[in-house]
Amino acid sequence: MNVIETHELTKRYGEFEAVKGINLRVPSRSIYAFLGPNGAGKTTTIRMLTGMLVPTSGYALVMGYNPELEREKVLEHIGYAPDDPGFPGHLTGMQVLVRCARLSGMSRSDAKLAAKHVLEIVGLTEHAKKKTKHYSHGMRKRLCIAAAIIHNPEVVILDEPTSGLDPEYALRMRELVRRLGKEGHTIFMSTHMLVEAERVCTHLGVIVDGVLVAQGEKENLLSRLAEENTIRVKVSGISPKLVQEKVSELDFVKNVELLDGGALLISLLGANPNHRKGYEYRARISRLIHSMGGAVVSMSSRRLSLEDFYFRVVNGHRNGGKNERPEE
Amino acid sequence: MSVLRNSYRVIRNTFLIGWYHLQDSFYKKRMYICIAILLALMGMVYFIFMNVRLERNIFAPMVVLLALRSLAPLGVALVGIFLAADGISEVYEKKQLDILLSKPFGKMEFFFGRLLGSFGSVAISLLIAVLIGSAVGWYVFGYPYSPIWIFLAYVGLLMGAILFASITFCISAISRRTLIAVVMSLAFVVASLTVGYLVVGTKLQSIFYKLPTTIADVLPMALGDPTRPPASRAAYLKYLPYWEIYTLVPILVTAIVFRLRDLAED
Repeated sequence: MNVIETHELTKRYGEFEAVKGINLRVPSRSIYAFLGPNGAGKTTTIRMLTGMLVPTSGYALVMGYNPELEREKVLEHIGYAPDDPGFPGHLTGMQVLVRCARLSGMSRSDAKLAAKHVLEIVGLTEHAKKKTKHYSHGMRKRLCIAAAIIHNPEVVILDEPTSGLDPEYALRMRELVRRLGKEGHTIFMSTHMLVEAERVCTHLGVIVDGVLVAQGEKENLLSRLAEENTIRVKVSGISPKLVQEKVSELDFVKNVELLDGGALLISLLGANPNHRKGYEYRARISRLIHSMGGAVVSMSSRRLSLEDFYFRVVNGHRNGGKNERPEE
Repeated sequence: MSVLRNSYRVIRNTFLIGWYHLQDSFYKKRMYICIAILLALMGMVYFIFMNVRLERNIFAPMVVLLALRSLAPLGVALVGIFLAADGISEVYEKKQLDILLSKPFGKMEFFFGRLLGSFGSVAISLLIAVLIGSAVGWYVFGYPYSPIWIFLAYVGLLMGAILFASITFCISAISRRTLIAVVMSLAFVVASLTVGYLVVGTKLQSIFYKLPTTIADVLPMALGDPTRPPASRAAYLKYLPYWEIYTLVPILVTAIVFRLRDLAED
């Protein structure tokens, strides 16, 4: 079941189209990383999901409710932690959370209990009575998440949760996201920090220039790209240029690139080099080099990282329209 | 039953938002500056009467009312403008929009809650100034002025301040910028005073009685002067419809615009 769905969701400002007919599918209990460069349309999309912006066309469904028409219903089921939020500086962290809880419909006593609970979750109990104007950036981010989860929503939407955080706080934030995921919340997290996405998310969506260029389960997306993965080969006793020519002729090779230092970067077609077929291809390349009188000094393959994936789809989109995987 | 529950929720949220906005206003310097300005205006009147023997003899029983009268229209206009100017714009300028508006309440609850909070801060500032100013007048001149008439004068002052506060609040909601709300509202007051000055003594004098500054000027006297109650009641009823137009029409129009418009900025 998808807790967030959008159907051709579009937002236009005059001539400028910020979000271009995207179809998001966020499964229940997933940690969905919504990736994209700055200005790609991530925050605009989130604001349409929370009912703060009205789509120009298309629609969204969050927990089955349309934010445009049933904003309050949607907000009962979601918690939203924006990027760089502002809090009244004269209030303590505790007071901010009690206000948020009261505005979510809780009684005064329930609000205080809930505030204490979420302060503990985000690790701010010690700073509960400190005024928010004295909070560091990391503490403000955590307070923001506490405010988002205070009414125990099914879906938590986080906008750039680790931006501007030092490594220690970023790590704590990732742990917090994981914890929320384990507790059964669906996390929809916009970010351009690929490391955090790779470490915590289960699903991915990439938006570029307002277009959703890739979406799906993280492992599926990455292994799909790994199928056209590359092998790095270093040879001796033979001209690398000659090897490049011969290997290029093999039917399972997509492309061979001669790198600085004489190494060859071989892109394979239709096989993951770490899988059975991939090993077979590696053996065939090895045999070919030996048959040419050369020797394989080293042969290594690497699984594509999320970073590789991201840049492929982003550059692919920018270079050639909507192609998910561009020709290299 | 669900209608009742829904109505309760709407009213509760509106008052909560208003209450929080009012609480926040106590932490802003401008509230205390406004009170200080009002007290300074009343103090000036007392100072004048303490130093002009003849005037003091004639007006002493009414001196508190005259001091209160000195707050209109400029004093109340300043209070209304400065305390309502950030009614909506504050959440945009201080980036509180997303965190506040991601809670389950409607746009109208937010709009009217903030409006109530702004009006509350105007009412409290004026009340503090009127209470302190009247007490000082009583202490200095020793003539008690009936608390009922002080209260009625306060209501008149408050209505004047609310008139300007509602206009400023609406500009704040539409422009989403405090500075624009202040500048445009001050320009509105200046324009109203200028038009009043230009039309007095001409064929167009009737316009003068419909100007917002005139209405804010007249209401405290119309309500708080015990020496001419029948006349003042008639004057009050005469000016009330204009007050309603200046106050309610902008609020209704802005509420509709606010409802239709995106909450987040482009």
